[in-house]
Amino acid sequence: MAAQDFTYPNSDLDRGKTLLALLGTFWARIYSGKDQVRSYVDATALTLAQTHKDTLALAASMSRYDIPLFDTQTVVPIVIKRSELNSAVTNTATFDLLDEKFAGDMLFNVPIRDTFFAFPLPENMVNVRQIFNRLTFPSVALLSNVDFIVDTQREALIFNDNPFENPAVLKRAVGNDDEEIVLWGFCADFDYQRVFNQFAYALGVQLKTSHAYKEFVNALFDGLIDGGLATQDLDIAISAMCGLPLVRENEEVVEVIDEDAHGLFIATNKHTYRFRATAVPIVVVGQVVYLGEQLVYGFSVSEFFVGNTFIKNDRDDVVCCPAPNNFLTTHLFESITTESGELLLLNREGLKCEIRRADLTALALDHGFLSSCFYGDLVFENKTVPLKIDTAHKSGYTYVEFEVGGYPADVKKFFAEVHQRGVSAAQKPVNQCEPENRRGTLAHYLDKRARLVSEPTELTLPETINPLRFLVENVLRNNVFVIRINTAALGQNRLGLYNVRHLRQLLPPQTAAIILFELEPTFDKIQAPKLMKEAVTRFTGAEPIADNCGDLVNDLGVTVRVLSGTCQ
Amino acid sequence: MTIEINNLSQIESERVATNVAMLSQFMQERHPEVELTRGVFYDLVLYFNGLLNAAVQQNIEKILQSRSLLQLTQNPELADTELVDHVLSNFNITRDAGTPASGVVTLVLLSPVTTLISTEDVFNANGTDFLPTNDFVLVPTNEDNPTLTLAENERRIIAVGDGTYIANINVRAVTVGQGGNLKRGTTLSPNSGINNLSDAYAASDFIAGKDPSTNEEYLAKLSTGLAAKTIGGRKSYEALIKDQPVFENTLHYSILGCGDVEQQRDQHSLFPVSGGGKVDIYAHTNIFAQELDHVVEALYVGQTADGSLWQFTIDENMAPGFYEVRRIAKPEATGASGYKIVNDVRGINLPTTTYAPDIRYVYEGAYSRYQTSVIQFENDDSPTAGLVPNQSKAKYAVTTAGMPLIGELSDFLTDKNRRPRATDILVKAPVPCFTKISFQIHTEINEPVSDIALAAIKKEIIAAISRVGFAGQLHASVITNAAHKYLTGRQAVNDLDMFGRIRRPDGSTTYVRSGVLLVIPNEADKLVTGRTTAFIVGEDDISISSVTAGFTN
Repeated sequence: MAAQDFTYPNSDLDRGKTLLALLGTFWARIYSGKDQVRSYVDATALTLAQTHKDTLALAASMSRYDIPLFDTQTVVPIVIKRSELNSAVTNTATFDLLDEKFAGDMLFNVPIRDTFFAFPLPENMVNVRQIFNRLTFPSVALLSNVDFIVDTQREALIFNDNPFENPAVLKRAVGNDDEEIVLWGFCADFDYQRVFNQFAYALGVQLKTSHAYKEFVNALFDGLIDGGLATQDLDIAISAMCGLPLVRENEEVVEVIDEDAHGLFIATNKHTYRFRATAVPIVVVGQVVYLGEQLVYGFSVSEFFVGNTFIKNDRDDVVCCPAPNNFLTTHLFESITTESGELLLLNREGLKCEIRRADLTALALDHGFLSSCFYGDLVFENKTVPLKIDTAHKSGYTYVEFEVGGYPADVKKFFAEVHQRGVSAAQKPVNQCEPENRRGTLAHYLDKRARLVSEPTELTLPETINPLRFLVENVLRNNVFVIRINTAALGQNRLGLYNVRHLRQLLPPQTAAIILFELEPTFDKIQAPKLMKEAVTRFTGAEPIADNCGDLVNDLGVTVRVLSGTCQ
Repeated sequence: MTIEINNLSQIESERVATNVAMLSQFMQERHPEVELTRGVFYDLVLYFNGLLNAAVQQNIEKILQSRSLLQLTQNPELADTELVDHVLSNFNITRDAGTPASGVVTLVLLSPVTTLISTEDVFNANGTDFLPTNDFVLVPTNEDNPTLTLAENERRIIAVGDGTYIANINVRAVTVGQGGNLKRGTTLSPNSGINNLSDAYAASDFIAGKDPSTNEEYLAKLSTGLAAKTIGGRKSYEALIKDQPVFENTLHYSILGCGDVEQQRDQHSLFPVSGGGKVDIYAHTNIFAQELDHVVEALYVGQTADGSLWQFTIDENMAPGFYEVRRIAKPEATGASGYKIVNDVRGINLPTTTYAPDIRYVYEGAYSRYQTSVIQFENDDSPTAGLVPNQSKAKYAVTTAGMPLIGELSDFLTDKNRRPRATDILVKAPVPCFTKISFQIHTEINEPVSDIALAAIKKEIIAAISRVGFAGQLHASVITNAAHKYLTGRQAVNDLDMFGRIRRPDGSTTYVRSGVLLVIPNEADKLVTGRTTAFIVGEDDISISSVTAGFTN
């Protein structure tokens, strides 16, 4: 899409004199009513400019990448009636639209009579930058987010001051006991669901129009055309669902990381990215960031293939790998545990690698991953647990199990099934090449001996095991990846995680994604009993490290910041 | 094209008014002295200017709409063929002209002599003409040459046992459309005399006939049109399949893999946890189970209390992925209801030299092209004298019912030119929910429901159910909505009943019934869920009666 152009005058449509001159000397200089002609030419240019803008938008709409989200009207009449002031339609307290608590000052489904003045929003309007009382030489000029706000959830236009009480606004009687005023909106956006109507309908994805929605749809289109979601398509789709914008340009430099009334924002030399106040940046000022990278701790994707539960630790493509010959077995993992108990591994150059799995507390496998005769999930935790060994099992084979979360009956069944399958495998005809090295049961595979000449015992089996690591390195490493989403960072403009269903059609069916939500902690409040006595006293305390006064001031006004080359 | 505005009166008055209002306001504010309510300036200058601007803006809107199939569908004035084709081209779709019906016809011959069937021999059924797809030569066979090698256009003549002989040929309808789809057993009449021919009837349900797609049907095709036709994401599997002419008329696909509860083949390792790497494709290729006639040689097993017990095998090539055997009778007993089936034991026969999927249990491979079955039935009307158990043989006509094209689709996807190494693909017919629908149409006495309307209602209901796919539920409103298109204001649907018989992959049966919502049970352990099971319904499964009731005047 073409970059915004703030040049004025931008074309001859902005130059009234030039247009007038085009009519000829008589109309421009000789005709006594040339001022009227000039005004007519200006008015015509205004409407033509709108048509020109519509034409450009039409051309942009041919591309799914460039299609404008909204139809922008340079000037649009806004008609409001006094009878509609704070009407039930626009100003009703409902649970789903309010963050405030119903603590006695408002009633459910009853219009809020507060200090604001709400009127119905014109149909399909989602934004308007300014509102005037006249097209020319206005005496009333109202700024969005300063003098009024557009509340698209309640479909209301909410003013700080009642426009009907403003003597500079002309009122007109409507019927016997009502009146209306006509205001002129400047740069108003209308949502005609262009993204859905032109493109997304083909995918059956209808959501509220937003940049994230367009990004999401484009990721799905790319996935279709590519034959499946590529890594970058998946990242874009997840970022759109989570409302976590990714770096848009090939290379950008972080210039500002700060908070304002809308939350956290990170400004680069190319774009400004907004996040919730609770999001945690993972970049610093001056850092160069690249296309598709994240700017906050939002989501991460862990691939377990080839047993590689580790990731590269810097930009030099230093890839960390498990130790040689340590891919397929879990019984040797003790050798890579440090004295402090930290799971640690060095790559070939001896550099320390980041262990991604160490951050993965646990995985719960549900019916999608378990055979269907389990009542609930089985939880494999990332911790060291003892290996329970039964060398006198009734099957005649050494039985092992370890701690797994879930219904006890499910856990028991799980290990019974594992053992039964192992026994069946062990009883198959012997490989004549290695008759003494037949392995079938889990205990056989965990046995540390190079050659299995007898049933495993406590002496030949490891004392402990890490259930999650066991699971990852023996099962999930083949076709599963994990998407971890930090819910504290979910953006206000997120599409909603339920849209993950659209990704299913684009993932290769032999693979699966497990989605982990990292939930925000909730804070409990204690209400003191009535009879409890309180006393105030003073004591000398340490100097606070930080003094934050959050949420006391909710200033939605415009803040001007200087950024290189980009207007916020 | 319909996007052109030929008449300025077609412009929306509101759009004109907005433009004129803006011009008027602008002039009024600068020159209050100018008369702007009516008169020369308003009528000839402002209004005209606003009108032309509105025309351009409306054209822009129309062009935008013309780029969207959704909006073309919603705006019939715009939906001309050229515009629709433009949009379809953006989704890699070309307009389809429909397909003619085709199928197998059994010719009943008077004597076992070589008989020629020409491509100019016209057969007619239900008003539709059919032509042989080739010049066929019907070749007699006897006990001396039972394994006679036939050329591609040669067909074997088989003795029925009643003095007549049969041979099968392939025919195709002359015209395009569903009208040529015949039910198995439908009689075809040759338009000219064919030497040695006694009779002809459809040996299978004809299913290939399809009318050209409607705009609504194209809407559903857009995503698969756009998707890469390759083995990749789930949608790409579907796109690859539907891109093949032979599969383009198929309905729905449910592609289940790692993480799907119905995917159990990827749990065959030591640990009962899904390891991925396996793909099960449930192919809902047709709305009803296609019936196919076969002539088999059954083996006499022994005597029973009521007659004789016979056995035959349906191998993996005879009726790939079939659901059940509908009828077994003597070949000459065309009107007989058939013998009682005593046993139906399914098995799996995997190839040893070519690709074979990982199937550990029979139910995992049920309704796939690897499925086999040993059928035992009881013949209660034939003498048993002289029959020797496990030696005596006799020919029987067997009718199987199943999803068409399962074998072809399985072979297509697992072909070595297509399947990536280590990609384990298993194509299956969906678990069948054989659905019976019955309802009454209450009507007033002066408005009886015609047979033509009833036939149209049945077709509409089938079309509506065929769009349900793997949804796991069938709402009564789907049926009533379809029916009401053909009813007047004084006719209404009443007493609707939906009854489903689900034949599970393990061979057991369960039933669902409702007048409001038919829901597929969630029995993932038995591979029965909404994602594996499809509603199977044909015209014969819909019963509609007309009742004069309920209207008082």
